[in-house]
Amino acid sequence: MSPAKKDPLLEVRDLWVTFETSAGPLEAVRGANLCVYPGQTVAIVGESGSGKSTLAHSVIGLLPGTGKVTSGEIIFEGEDIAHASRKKMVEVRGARIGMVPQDPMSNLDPVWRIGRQVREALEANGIDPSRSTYQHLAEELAVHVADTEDGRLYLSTKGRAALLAEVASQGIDIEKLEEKLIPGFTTRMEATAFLRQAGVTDAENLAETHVTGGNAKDRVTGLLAEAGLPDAARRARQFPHEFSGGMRQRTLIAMGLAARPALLIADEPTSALDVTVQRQILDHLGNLTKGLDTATLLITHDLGLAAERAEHLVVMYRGEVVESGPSLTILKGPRHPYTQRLVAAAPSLSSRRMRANRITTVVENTHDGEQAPSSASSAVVGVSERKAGGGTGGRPKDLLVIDHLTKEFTIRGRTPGRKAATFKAVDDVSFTVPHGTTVALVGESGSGKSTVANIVLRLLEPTAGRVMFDGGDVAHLRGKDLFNFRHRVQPVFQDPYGSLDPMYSIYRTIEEPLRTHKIGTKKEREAKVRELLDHVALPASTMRRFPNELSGGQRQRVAVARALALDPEVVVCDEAVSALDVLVQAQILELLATLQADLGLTYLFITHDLAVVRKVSDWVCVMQTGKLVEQAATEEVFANPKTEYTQALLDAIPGGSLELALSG
Amino acid sequence: MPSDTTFADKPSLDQSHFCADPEKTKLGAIDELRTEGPISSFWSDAWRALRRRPLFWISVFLIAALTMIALFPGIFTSESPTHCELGRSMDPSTSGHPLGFNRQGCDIWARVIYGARTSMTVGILSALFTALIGATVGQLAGYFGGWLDGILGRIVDIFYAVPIVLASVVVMQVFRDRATALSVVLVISLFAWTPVARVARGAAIEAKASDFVTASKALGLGKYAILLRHILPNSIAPIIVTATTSLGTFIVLEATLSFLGVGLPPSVLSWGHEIANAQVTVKTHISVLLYPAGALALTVLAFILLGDAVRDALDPKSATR
Repeated sequence: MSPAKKDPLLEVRDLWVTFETSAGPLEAVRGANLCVYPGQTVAIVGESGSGKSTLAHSVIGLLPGTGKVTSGEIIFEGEDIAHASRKKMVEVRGARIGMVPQDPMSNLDPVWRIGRQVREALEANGIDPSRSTYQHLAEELAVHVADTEDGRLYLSTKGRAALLAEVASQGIDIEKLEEKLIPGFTTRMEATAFLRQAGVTDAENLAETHVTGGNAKDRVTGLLAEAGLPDAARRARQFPHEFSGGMRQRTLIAMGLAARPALLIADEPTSALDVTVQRQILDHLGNLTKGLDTATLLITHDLGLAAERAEHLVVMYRGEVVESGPSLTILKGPRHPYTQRLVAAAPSLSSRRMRANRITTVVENTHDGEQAPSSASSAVVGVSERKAGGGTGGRPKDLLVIDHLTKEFTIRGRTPGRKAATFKAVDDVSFTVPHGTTVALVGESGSGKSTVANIVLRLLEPTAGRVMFDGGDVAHLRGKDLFNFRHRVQPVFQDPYGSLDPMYSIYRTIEEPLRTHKIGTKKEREAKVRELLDHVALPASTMRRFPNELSGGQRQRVAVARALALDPEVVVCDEAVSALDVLVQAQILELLATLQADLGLTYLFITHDLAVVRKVSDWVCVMQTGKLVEQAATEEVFANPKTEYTQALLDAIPGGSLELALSG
Repeated sequence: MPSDTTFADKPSLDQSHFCADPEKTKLGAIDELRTEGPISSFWSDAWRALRRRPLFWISVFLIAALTMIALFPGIFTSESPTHCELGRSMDPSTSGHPLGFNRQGCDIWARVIYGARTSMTVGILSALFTALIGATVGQLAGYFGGWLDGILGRIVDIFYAVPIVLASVVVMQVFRDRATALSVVLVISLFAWTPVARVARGAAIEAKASDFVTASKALGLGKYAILLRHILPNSIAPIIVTATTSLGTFIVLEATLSFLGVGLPPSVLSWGHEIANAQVTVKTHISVLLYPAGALALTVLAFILLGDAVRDALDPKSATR
């Protein structure tokens, strides 16, 4: 890699971006510098609020709301576009700088067919999708038009049919050719090559007669096929709601690259997708941009992913570029304390089970105006009563036994008289959770892992099979027994923004379980709330605050405190850290490990992220479409996966391949 | 930091390793907690947003004044609104009678002042009752769903489909001359609760799906306790907004009914009556019509302004810029 010989495609010089807020101006980007060479992939890494997206959006002139470039230059293809006119930006956007947005769900218009939306991306950039002028010429002359870069001739649907018919008449098997010849995608040159491969004698002549350019529809199909969408011609006629998240993202990639821009900005292009899909799409995007010689500016919060995909890294922290350089150099020798922190916390790059070590530095700015929380009396139902149950040698008893669990859901919209169609969300799943350990349930969306969690919590009833907790069938619990069960098994949910009632103060939130179970007097409850806040390393002054004043990580701590209020034995963590930034995630995982050691907790940890699993769990159960496909001790699963699916999940961990490079 | 590390001022074009000076880019604690500053609960935030709006204060001032007039009309005029002398018919304003006299020779100022009570009572009570009925029906339907939602939903649809003025005209016949402000309130409430019910149902459905409700279930909280402690508090804002914004229309509705002669009996003072009576002289003495109509418009405007301000404060998403 020696980019210095060319001129940079994009150069951002000392860029400042300011947002006007009601609380005064907010500097989102402060003096950022970065440069991208043609064909290069550069990643901007940072946590939420670091200004990485703002920087990317200022490049394409799409700053939201009150955002403004206050100083600095953005030089793209030799011109400063930071202060370019609107007209100029409209020209640049799409045509020279493409964009793949973050959320595939909301970025396609639900009322238009996919094909039409892709076509719009072509037409908006003044590209004549049918290349009619050029084709006209080719048809007139019937033979020789040079296959130059800006004058590619694509195969049309009609031409393809005629071509295949002629090849078939020569007695050659066309099955393989059918796959390779894609209308709107295969050029005359490529077609000639494919035909030669297939053993067609007059390949050149055939290609010249039949590959005379496709129409707009063909080109749209071709673009979708290029983005890796199978059966593109049929898919182009479908609507966004018929597409999965991965397919929508492929569509957006097709649109972003439709006009063949020199630079593609990919803003967290796969964050909303399952890990295995994420890998496929990033692989495909990587190959595609390489093939088209498009430079990519990749925005991500995942250092592992960034280092794996980009040659050059730009690390941002609080609006500033704190470190930049070649990916491997940064990973091997991070120099800025923030980058060092990131490298240390990246779950994909660490490989050991986290063991409890006392948290001392988690929240450094404990408020001193408040009474020290540690002095809270332990007279209340003591958390300390139940010390670690494991560690006495021998296998601890199984606290939870999931026994041939099956859950069917009725699909809506059944016709009367006919038997309702059912869908097996969980299919004959069995595993056990020993006391004092962490069992991880891993799978992608739709694998049924959350359904299992909800049955364990008895928020859902199983169709067949049972969940045994401490020797009793959970489904048979009624009245007082159920109430007592609630006392012992508590959940922590994924979404830190939805799991706390916005109307409740933190005190009321944590006190709610105590009040519901009529534990202690008002004073004792307050002492207990202080103690719990101390457990999750939040200052006692947090009590009077409301959820909207806390960050995602802090809310998740409060959710943990609420779950612990009743001194439960089992905590079910349903994607409890998935929505958090890497550093905060590491912090919460550490907290959970510490609590486990101190209180002898048993965790059922539901997650899609194998990298996290490695850090926290003793035993791993892998689920795929409702079935349990593999279970083993964590180290065993990572060292020696038994099924292809587990292997695929492991391969999909961002940065997994880098570890080898680093250690080797 | 090893001492041999140097910090470049700017990342160079050759893309070599650059590191900002850690002295200049200080690291904060991970996930720092803000512990200073005022507590920001939903209601305190809403109040902070509300009190910054001049329109809110204008409407509050107007409504306070109107409330005073409605409660103690005697302070504002010494004239009796029912003291009418035909000899003074259509007389212009004189001292003590700032707006002059109407056709019956009654003091217009006194009648406008005394008419406020009816409008205020009907408006506020109707808003209260529609909120109560609508919230109850909507919350139950949204929270429990299933067949209950089906039944309640159809009832809402039926009442929603009835044109409110027409229905009120018909139902008011039951009361005839025995109608009081309260009977008008009841009739309005009977037909006007459906918008609140729809909003309350939507809010319940939204709140019911949230994780904090699931968490409360997992705590062992009963379903009615969840409804009262979590669903209702989270739905109250849109209910209040809907009720306040429709308050003005209820005042107009009462005036309309009285104007049509099916509302309050002529013995009860109402701006609707005043407007109806002024019709006869509208060509010669338009002022007789303008005063009660102006009072009505001002009152409705005050409540609409309040409703707008409250909506912007409680529902920041819909706020106008």
